[in-house]
Amino acid sequence: MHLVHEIVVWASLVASATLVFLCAVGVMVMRDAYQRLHFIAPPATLGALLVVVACVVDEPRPAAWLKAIVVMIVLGAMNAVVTHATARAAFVREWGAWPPPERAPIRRMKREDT
Amino acid sequence: MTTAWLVASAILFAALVPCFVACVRGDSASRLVALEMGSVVQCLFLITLSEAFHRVVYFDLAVALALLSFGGGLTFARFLERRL
Repeated sequence: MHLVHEIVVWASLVASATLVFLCAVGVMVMRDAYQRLHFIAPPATLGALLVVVACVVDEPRPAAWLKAIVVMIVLGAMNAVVTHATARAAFVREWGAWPPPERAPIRRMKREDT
Repeated sequence: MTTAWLVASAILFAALVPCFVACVRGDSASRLVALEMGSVVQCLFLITLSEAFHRVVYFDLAVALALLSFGGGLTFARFLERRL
């Protein structure tokens, strides 16, 4: 039983850390902010879930893994809101307004920081 | 079992490097995305590190960081929209 626990902990932690690292590399190499936003979701959901699984299996004290579960819930709920807000902010900064006017052609604003 | 947590901590710490590189270069929106990614990585890094050293009290740091990065991300997004 101890061996099974150890295998679960190792597999969960290595999978989570590898996933997070690959997504961080994805954030670095992608072209623009909209593409980069996609790479925040896997660490905030699946990565956190795998860390919590390892924590629940390995940690006998409920105070520890309960806090880890709280972090997972906060990260999962936060990710959707912040991702939407960031994409909207990037759109407004680039195009001027949200929602875009239906009839008038969208006038692209001057980008200052590219 | 501590070794597994330390290895995960090392990989997560290495994952902060691409976030830092993305924060340094790119436009403002991309920098904000990299900052949010970095906060997620740091939350997981704090959890693994506190579990590796068997310090349950340091889990509170991860909880606080997760909550504060939420508000920080929204505030930076509002600044990015030029509405504040």
